[in-house]
This record gives sequence, C-alpha cells and structure tokens, in this order.
Amino acid sequence: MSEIYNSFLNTIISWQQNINILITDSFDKLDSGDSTMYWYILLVSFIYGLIHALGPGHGKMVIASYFLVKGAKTKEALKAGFLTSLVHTISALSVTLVLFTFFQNSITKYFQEINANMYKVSALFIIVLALYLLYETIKDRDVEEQKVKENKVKDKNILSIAVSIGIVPCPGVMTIVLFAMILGYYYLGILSAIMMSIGMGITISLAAILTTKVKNSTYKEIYQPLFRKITYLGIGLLLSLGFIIIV
Amino acid sequence: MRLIFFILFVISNIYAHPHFFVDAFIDIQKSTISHKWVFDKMNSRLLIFDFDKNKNKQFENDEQISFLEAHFEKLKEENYNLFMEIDSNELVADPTNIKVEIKNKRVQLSFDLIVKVQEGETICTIDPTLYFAYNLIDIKCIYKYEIQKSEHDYCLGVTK
Repeated sequence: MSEIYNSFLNTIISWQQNINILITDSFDKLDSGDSTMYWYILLVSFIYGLIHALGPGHGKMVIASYFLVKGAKTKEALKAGFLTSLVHTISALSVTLVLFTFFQNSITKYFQEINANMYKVSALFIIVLALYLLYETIKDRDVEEQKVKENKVKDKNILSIAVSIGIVPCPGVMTIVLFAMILGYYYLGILSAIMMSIGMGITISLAAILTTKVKNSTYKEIYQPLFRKITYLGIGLLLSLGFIIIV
Repeated sequence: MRLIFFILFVISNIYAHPHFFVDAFIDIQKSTISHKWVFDKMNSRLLIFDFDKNKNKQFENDEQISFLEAHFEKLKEENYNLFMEIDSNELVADPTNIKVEIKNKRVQLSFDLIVKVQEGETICTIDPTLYFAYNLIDIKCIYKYEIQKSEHDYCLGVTK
C-alpha cells in the first residue's frame, strides 16, 4: 500500500512542479507583451488548484473524517468543501497582502512562521471539533431519531469545520499571489487565487461527497454496528490528526 | 505493524505539501560531499525580492546571512534534510563553505560536508515535512554507487 501512496505522491509532486514552471513561463510571456497569457494563467491556476488539493494537506482527511462521523447530504458536503477552500484562500490572500504591504524583505520567512503557527491553531480547532462530535455521538447513541439527525448537518457546523481547516493559509496560493504582485500584476494575482480556490473546492468537495456516499450507502441498515464503529474511527482519526499536528 | 506505520506516515504528512522545488546536485569525493540546491524559478523570484535588498541581482555577505538565517539554519533540527549513515551510525551534518548566489535568475545554495566517504555509506537528501521537494539532477561520485530517487528525495548507497 505504501508503494501505491508513494507513487501517487510522486505523480502529484511532479504535476505541481510542471505547473509551477508553466505559470512562471506564462508570466514571463505576459511580461513580454503576450496578453493571451492572461487567460491562460487563470486556466492553469484553476488546474493547479485541482491538483494542488489532491496532494497531502488542505484538510481532506479532516473533512472526510467529519462526514464519516456525521453523514450528510451531497449538497452539504459540497458546501463544506467549497467553504473550506474559500476560507483557505481568503486566509492566504490576507496574509500575503498584509506581508506585501507592511513587511517587505522578510516575506518568505514570515510565510513559513505564520503557516507553522496556523497549523497549531487549526489543530486545536480540530481537537475541539472531535471532542464535540464524540459528545454528540455518545449523547445520541440511543436516540431513535438518530437517522434523521445524521442526515442533517447545520450550516453553523459546516462553517466550524471550514474555519478549522481553512484557517491555515494555502502556501500555493500565497506563492502565486506574491509572485504576481512582485511582477506588478495585482488583479491577476487575486484572480488566480480565486481560480485556484474553485479548483481546490472541487477536489475537497469530492473527498467530502465520497465519504457521505459511504456513510449513507444502501447497506447502512444491514451494517449498522459496523457504521457505529466507523463513527468512532472517524473521531479517533480527527483526534490523532489534531494531536500529531500540535506535537 | 507495517500498516500502522504507513497510516502514521500518511497522517504525519497530512498538512505537508512541497513549497520549494529544488534541483539537487551532489559531488562525492574521498573526504568531501558537495551539495548544490537550485531553487525553482518562481520561488527564486520571491527569494531574490526578499533578500537582494539593494536589487543588484547578487547576494552580498549580509544578504546571504539573512537568507541562511531564514531558510537554511532552521533545517539544522532535521540535520539539514541530510541523512548519512555508516555501520548503523547516523552522522551529524556540519555544512561548511556555504554560499548563496543568483545564477540565471535562480537562487543557488551550495555547501560542503567534510565526511570520510566509505563503502556501505548511505547518503540521502530528504525533507520529512515535504516542504522542500528535492529532484536529483546530477551525481558525481568517485566510487560505485546505487541510487534510489523519487520526485521529492533521493538516497545513494556507496558500494565501492
């Protein structure tokens, strides 16, 4: 299994490296006067978002674990995926804009420091979320209407999960936005970030939707005890993630 | 047990993704290992913007020091992303002749390690956090070796 994971990781890293080169070259061409590159950069940013979120990170496992516990409708999973991506991008845009405006000459250093600290904040949120889910699961254990409850995730909860994961600014977005700004393409930098956000939203949503499909499968009634174990597995995964990131 | 290790590895990488794409070059001599890391064009542009304060397209001493403080010295905790082992003993990296330059619009970091290279030695460049992805481009080695590489790390085994 580790060979499959390594091969997958290698492919994602290789694609990301190629897109990184493609975007850099496209900006060079745009700088030389080829205005068609403007649209090309936006398209490549969208694809970069799709692929970037395929690799490790971006909270796919957190969101998948959450929906493994709660279960939800496809629409809610989609909403959670896109909201996470939106928060992830807004966080990255804000950090980049503040650093570019006030802290020139030490931006790349702060990128790393801010990211490291935000991971820890995110990890704390994830632990709180896991404990809340554990409380709810135990509380609802014997409730007959559990089925109804499982299929309804409140907007407030979707926002909590999106903020917990998305608060970590996306390094990919920060790099591209800063790169565009250094070259003087402020609007293109922000538009590229939005296109990346849409791409990442699709990938993160897919992880959430797949989990809800598993949780709401037609065999649910037959395998009820197994699904109860899966619920605790999801909570365990969330707790492990939180503690590993903090340590 | 292998499955548990694999799950822990996946979880530990859960937030990690490459930020710096580095072309790696290594030159192995009898008692010196020379490393050269060339940063990707996009990140080089950001690093030059950040550290070439007088904008003369080269790094003076003080600019090199700032760069190393921000992006190299913190790697000490991870043995500078270097793993060297001989007879099951892990070697501590102590880089010398460290230099940061701008060449063809790319930032290039080079350094040497004074190490007696011998048969059975394993020499790897790997970032466990995946923040740096090392793509091995070229090897010079006076000994025979076996190599294992991926898109983000590599390992050499000296076979003589």
